[in-house]
Amino acid sequence: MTAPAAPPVALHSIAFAYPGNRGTIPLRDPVTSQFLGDHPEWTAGGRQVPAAFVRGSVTGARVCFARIPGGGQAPAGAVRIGARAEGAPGVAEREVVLAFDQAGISAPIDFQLNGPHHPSVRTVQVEWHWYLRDGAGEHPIGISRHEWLLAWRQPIPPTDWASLLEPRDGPVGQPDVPWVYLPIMRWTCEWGTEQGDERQLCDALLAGLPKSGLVYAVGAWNVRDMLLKGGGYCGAFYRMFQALAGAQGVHLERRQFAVDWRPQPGNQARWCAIVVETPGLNRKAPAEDPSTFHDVGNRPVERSPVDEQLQRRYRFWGIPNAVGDGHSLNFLHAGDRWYLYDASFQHRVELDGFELPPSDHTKRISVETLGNFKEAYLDVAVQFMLGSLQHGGRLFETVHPVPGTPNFKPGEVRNGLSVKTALVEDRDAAITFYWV
Amino acid sequence: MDSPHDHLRHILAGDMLGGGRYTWRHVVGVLQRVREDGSEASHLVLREAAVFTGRLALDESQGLPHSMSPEDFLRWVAVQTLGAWDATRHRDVIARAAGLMEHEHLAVQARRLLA
Repeated sequence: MTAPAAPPVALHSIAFAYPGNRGTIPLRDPVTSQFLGDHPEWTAGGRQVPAAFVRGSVTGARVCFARIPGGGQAPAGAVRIGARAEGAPGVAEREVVLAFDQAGISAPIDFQLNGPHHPSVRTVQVEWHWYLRDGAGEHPIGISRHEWLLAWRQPIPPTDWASLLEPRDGPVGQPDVPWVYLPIMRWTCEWGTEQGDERQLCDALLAGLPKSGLVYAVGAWNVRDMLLKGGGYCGAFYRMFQALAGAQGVHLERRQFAVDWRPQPGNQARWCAIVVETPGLNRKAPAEDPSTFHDVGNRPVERSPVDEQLQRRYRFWGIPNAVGDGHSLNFLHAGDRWYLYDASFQHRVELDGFELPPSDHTKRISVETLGNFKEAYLDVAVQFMLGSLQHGGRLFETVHPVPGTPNFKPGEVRNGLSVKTALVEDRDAAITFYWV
Repeated sequence: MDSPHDHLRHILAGDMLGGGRYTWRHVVGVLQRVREDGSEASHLVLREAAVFTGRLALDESQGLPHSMSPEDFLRWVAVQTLGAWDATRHRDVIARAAGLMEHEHLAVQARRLLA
């Protein structure tokens, strides 16, 4: 007696991120800007790309089958098809009637998974063993392997973090569905973000960020450019950190505090720039040529000697009587408290007595009205405030180069007086910023 | 000798400075001088800067702006200045500049100057 012949049916393709598959998160390739789900994530032809889901959700799979040429008679009536897996949901068996087109491919058939995805954030490698059952018994029809990325919650829409030059719309047929760049979903599912609350998740993201390989001070100011170039400036990093948290469904605020260059009598100005001497993420030194600074670092400030230093430091330049450059931060509001995240320089601070200023380029805000922002963050992260100031009977003036002016040296900036931020009294609006 | 206005036009055109490129420090310095000057020539060159659509070709060894792209910075400073000087006269370029900003907050703030 011979065993019943297996029906001539094989797997052709398996799709996850199709419209209406609730719990699925569209993933976007930052290089091509295409969605991975524009084509089935798995094909018999060798395509195998990740799919993302909300943890604990029960999702579906849209499957096409192929008739094996020369394999005999295809099933004429209803058969039952499903898939088994270990350690992850399989495919719930269902009755189907296979109809093949002239190319031998079936119409897409929607299946449901036979259980919820794992309840925690993680990456899952799963192998589905497909079978077909007909009157003659059960027949294996193929194996498919998948990489699943399980997120904490439905992502935050990209309008939260994307610049106006970045793509924002979702896939065709799902324009309003939030999506995530593939590297961001991979990172955030692997950086220990599976436990705790929103604050712990953001802490884990900040701690994991160096593993991304992203570098501070690369010429990029939005998330996609940052992924393509391998880094960015703070104007990109605060979007990136918002996108990282957003991938796991956590909303962060972002703000920039811009330098308020206030000209004062006698060619003085307070302040011309904020000065940061730390290199930034995944860097060994600030990405600027050395410049001569005139540091004041001792109390009493008025009598402190000026310490001349030739050093690499970042200067975030203001513009006199206007809103210029500044630094970019994220803020999480949790449990009636604000938490500050500085992804560029890896600071995380619990703020007391702080309320997030509205974005407004017309209003300068003194740091003394911002709770412990100065003591807990600014004094630590921004080592010096650079001004044009009188000190010891001499004017230390900040002057930018204009080619053709007398004594001009190419690229030279004459730095004024750099006063250690912690020594600037937190009163009388000594330090003000625009928050935008 | 080129004036700051000439230099700003060179920067917008992507011209070289002697044997090298302009640095970010030059851009900031030139913008300052043009704003300090405040002449009709300053109005005109800042109108060009406000609606600049190219990419600035800079020597990056002296750093770049941190919070926004050099192009957004240039447009943003031009827009603020023109808005402060004569928002009615420069309404057309401020409106166009708002549509060119990459940073959405800058686009919003530029439109607020028109309100």
